[in-house]
Amino acid sequence: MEFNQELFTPIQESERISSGIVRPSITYWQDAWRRFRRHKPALVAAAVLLVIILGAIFIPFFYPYTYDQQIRTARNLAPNLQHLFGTDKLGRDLFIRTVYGARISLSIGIVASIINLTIGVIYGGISGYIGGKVDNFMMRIVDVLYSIPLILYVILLKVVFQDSIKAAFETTFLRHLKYLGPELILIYIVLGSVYWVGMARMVRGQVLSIKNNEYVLAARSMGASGWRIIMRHLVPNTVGQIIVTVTMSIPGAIFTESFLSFIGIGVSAPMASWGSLASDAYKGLASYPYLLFFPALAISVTVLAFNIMGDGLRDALDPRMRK
Amino acid sequence: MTRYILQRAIAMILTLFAISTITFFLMHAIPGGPFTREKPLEAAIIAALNEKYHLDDPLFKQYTDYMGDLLRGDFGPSFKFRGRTVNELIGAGFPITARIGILAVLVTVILSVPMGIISALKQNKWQDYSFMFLATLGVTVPGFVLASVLIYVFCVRLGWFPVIWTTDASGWLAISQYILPMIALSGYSMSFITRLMRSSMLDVIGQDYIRTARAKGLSEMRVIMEHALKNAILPVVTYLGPTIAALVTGSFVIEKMFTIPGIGYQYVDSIGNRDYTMIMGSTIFYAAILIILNFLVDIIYGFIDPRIKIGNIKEA
Amino acid sequence: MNGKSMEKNNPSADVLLDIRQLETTFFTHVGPVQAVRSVDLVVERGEAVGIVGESGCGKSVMSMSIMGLVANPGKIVGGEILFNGQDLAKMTDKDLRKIRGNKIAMIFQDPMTSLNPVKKIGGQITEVLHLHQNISREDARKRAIELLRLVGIPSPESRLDQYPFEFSGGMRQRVMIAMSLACDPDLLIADEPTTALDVTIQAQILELMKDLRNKINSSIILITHDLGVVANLCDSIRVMYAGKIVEEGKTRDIFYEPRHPYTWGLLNSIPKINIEEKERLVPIDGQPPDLLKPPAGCAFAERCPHVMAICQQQQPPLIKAGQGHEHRSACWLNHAQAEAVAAPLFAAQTQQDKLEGQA
Repeated sequence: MEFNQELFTPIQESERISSGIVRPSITYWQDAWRRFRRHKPALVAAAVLLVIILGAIFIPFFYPYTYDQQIRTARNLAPNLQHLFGTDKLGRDLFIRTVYGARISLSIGIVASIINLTIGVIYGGISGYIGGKVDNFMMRIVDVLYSIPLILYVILLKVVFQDSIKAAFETTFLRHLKYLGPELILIYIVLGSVYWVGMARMVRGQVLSIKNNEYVLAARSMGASGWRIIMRHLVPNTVGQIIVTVTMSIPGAIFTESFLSFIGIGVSAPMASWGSLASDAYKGLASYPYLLFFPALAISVTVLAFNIMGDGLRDALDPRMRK
Repeated sequence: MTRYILQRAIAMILTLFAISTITFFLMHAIPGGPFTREKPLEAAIIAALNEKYHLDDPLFKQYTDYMGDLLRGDFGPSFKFRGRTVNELIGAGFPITARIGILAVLVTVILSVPMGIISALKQNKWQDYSFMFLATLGVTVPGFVLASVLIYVFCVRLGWFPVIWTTDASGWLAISQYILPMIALSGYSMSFITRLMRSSMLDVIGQDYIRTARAKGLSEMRVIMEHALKNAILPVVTYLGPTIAALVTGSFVIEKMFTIPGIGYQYVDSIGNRDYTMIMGSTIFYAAILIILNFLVDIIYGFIDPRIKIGNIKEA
Repeated sequence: MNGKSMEKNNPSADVLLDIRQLETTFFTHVGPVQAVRSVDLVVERGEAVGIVGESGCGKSVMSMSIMGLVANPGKIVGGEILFNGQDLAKMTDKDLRKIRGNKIAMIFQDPMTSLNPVKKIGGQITEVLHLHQNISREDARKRAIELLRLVGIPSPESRLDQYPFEFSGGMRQRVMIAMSLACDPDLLIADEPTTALDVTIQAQILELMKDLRNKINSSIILITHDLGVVANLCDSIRVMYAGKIVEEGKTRDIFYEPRHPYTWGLLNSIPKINIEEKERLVPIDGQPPDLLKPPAGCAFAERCPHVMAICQQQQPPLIKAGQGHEHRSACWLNHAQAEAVAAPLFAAQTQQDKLEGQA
C-alpha cells in the first residue's frame, strides 16, 4: 500500500494530538461535595429536612395558635382552612402541635446523637489509642453491651430518674429553661448515654488505622510531610465516617423516642412529641384517623429523609470512590 | 468449635450476672421506695410493708438475697398484685408473647429471604423496585403506625379481625386474633431482612468465585442456588439476634394496642403501676431470654460457617 | 482501517481456536466503551500463546469473550470465535455451558477469592466432573484425588474434604488448576494466574504449568502483564494495547527483535539487576487512551517517541516485521516508506540477557 511520503515524517512534541485532559487535583471535601450534589435523592432529602427544621424553628412565631391552646368551639375538627391538620378532642390545633413535635423529636434525635458521638469518640478514642490489653478489655465490654437489649435500660433509667430530675429542676437554677422541661432533658441524657456503642466501635477502628498509618510514615522518616498526609487523607476519612454515622443515628433516636412516647414512657402532656401525638390519636383512631396520620407522616418523612441523605453522604464521603 | 461455644457461654453467664446486678441497683436507686404513692400512705403502713418485704435490710443483704432467689428462679412477689408472684405473672404472659414472636420470626424469614433474593436477581427491574419500596416503607414507618393502619383497615373498616384479645378463645377466633399482631410485629424485621438479603446477594454475586462457577459451565440457576445462596445467607443469620430483639421491643407496643395479655403488656403496665419487683423481674427475664437466644443463634452460625466450624477463627 | 492481518497462515488442521475481528463493547451509562477493537488470534493445538499488555488493554475481556462470560453491560458486537468448527460468538448460553469447564477452561487471577469459601475443595472439583461427564461418585472422587496429586498437593485424600481457607494462596491456585484440568479441556485460559502471588510461589506455579504442558494436550492462552512469565512458558506472544493486538510472533522474535515502540517500552521497563551503572527505571510516559472515544489513528501515537504524521491519522494494520515467519507488528515504522528506526539498545541487550538466562 502506497501513501503520501509526507505522512511518514516524524512529529514534534508540540504537534502531538493528545486525548484526554489531565483532571485538576481537588481536595477531599470539594470532591465529596461534588459527588453529593450529583446524588439527586439525597439533595431532595436534604432540602426536605431543611424545610422541616426551619419550619420547626420559625413557624410558631407566626402561627395564630399555640400548642397548648384549647379552643372549646373547635373540638375534633377534620382538616380545614383554619386548622390545617384538624383539631383534637380538647380543641388544640394539630398542625402547630405537629410543628412543636418537630422541635421535640428533632432535638431529641440530634442531641442524643451528639451525646452518643461524644461518649463514643472518647471511649473509642481511648481504646484505640492505648491499644493492647486495655483495648481488648474495653471492646469486650462493648461486645457484651451489644448483646443486651438496651431499650430495657433506656426505659429503666427514665423510670428511675424521672422523679429526681423533676425535683432537681424545681429547686435549682435549671427552672429557668422554659420549653425544655426536666423530662425532655432526661430523655436527652438517657438516649445519649445508652446508644454510644456503635459509635465507639467505629471511632476505635478509625483510630487504629490512623495509628498504623502513622507508624508506617514514621518508619519512612518523612518528617513534616507525614503530618500533612495524615491531615489531608486520614483525618478527612475519619471525619467523613463520623458525619455519616451521626446522620444515620438521628433517625434511630427519633424512632426510639416516638416508640417510648407511644407506650407512655416518653414526654408527657401537654408537651407533644410526634410519638405522644400518635399515642393520643390512637385512642380515637376509628373516628378521627387524621389525628394519627399527620404525626405518623411527619415521623416517616423525617426518618426517610435522614436515611436517604445519609446514603448520599456515605457515597460522597467514601474515599474509595474518589475519582 | 468447642472453644467458640465455651467462649460464648462464659460471655453469656457474665452478661446475665451483670444485668441482674445493674437492674437491681438501678431499681433501688428510685427515690422514695416502692410504696410512695401520689396519695401517701400512713407511715405505720409503710413501715409494716417495708418490713414484710425486707426493704429495711441493708442494701447489700437485699442484693445477695435477691441474687440467691434469682438463681433458684424466684423473682419475688408482685407489689401491685397482692398475693401473686412475679413468676406467676410472667408464667401466664410469656407463652402468648412467645407464640406471637415465633410466628413473627417464621413469617419474617420465610417471606423476606426470597424477596431479597428476587430483588437482587432482578436488580432495577419492577420486582426490585416494588419490593424495595415496601421494604423502605417498613423501615421508616414506625411499628405502631403500621399496626394502627392495619387495625383501622382490617378491624374498624372491614371487620375481618378482632382488635381485642380473647383469652381461651376457640376456633377461628383463636387463630385469627394472632394474624394482625403477627404481621404488625414482623413489619420492621421483614423489611430490614429483605434489604439485607438483597445487598448480601448482590455482594456475593459480584465475587470472584461466582465467576469461577460460571466458568465451569454451571447454569445460572445452579450458580445462584449452590454457590451464591450459601454465602449470602450468612449475614442474615447473624442478624437473627438483633431481629429477635426488635421483635421483643415491638411486643410492648403491639400487645398494648391489641390488648394482648403477654409479658410486653405486663411490663408496660408494671411501669405505670410502679410495681417494682415486676419491673425488675420483667427486665431481667427479657434480657435473659434475649441473651440466651443470641447465644443459640451464635451457635447455629458456628455450624453454618465452616470457617468457625473447623476452628480457624482468625479467618472468620 | 481495522487491523486486518495482511498475511494469514494457511489454514491447517492444527488450528484449535480462530478468533476473527472480535469486537467487544461495554454499553455503560456514560457511553459505549470499546474494550476489544478488532482482534485476530489463532491458537494451534498444543500451542502456548502469551498475551501481554497493561491493565485495561482488553486482554481479560477478550478471554472472557471466548467463554461468553463478558459481564453486563458488555457484549460481543462483532467478529467470530471459531472453535472446533463452531462460532462461539453466536452460540446460545445453553450450548456455551457445555463447553465451559469442559472443552475450554479458565483459571483466574486471585486464588484467595476464586474459590467458594463455604464449599469443600473436593466438592468444587467433582462438581465440574459431574456436570460434564457421566461419572459415578467414587470415580469422580478418585479423579479429583488424581488431579490434586498432579498439581502437587500432598496427601490429596484428606485435603479433598477441606475448605479453601485451609489452603495457602499458592495451594489454592494449584487447586484452581486442578479444577480446570478436570475434564481434559482442549484449551486452558490462564488470566494472570501468578499476579496475586508471592514471587517465590509465582515461580513454583510457573514450574507446575511448564511441567503440566508436557503431560497434557491442552493449548494454553496465558494472559499477563509480566514479560518474564511468558518468556519461560509460551511458544508465541501477542502484545495488546488499547483493545488491539499491536505485535505478534514467536517468543524469540518478540524478545530478540521487537518491532513495536510499545513492546520496546515494555522490555525497557523491566528492572535489571546485572547492569554496571545504576540505571533509572524507564517507564512509558503517558496513559492509555480513553476507549470511550478511541483515537482515529494508532492508539499508541500520543505516547510514542517515534510518532509520524500518518500514525495520528490512520490505524496501522499488522505489517510483516523482522525476520520471523509469523512476526507482525501494527506499527507504521515497519512500512516500506518509513525511515528505519533501530530498537533501543537496552531492549536489544535485554534479549541477550534472556538468552543467557535460558541457556
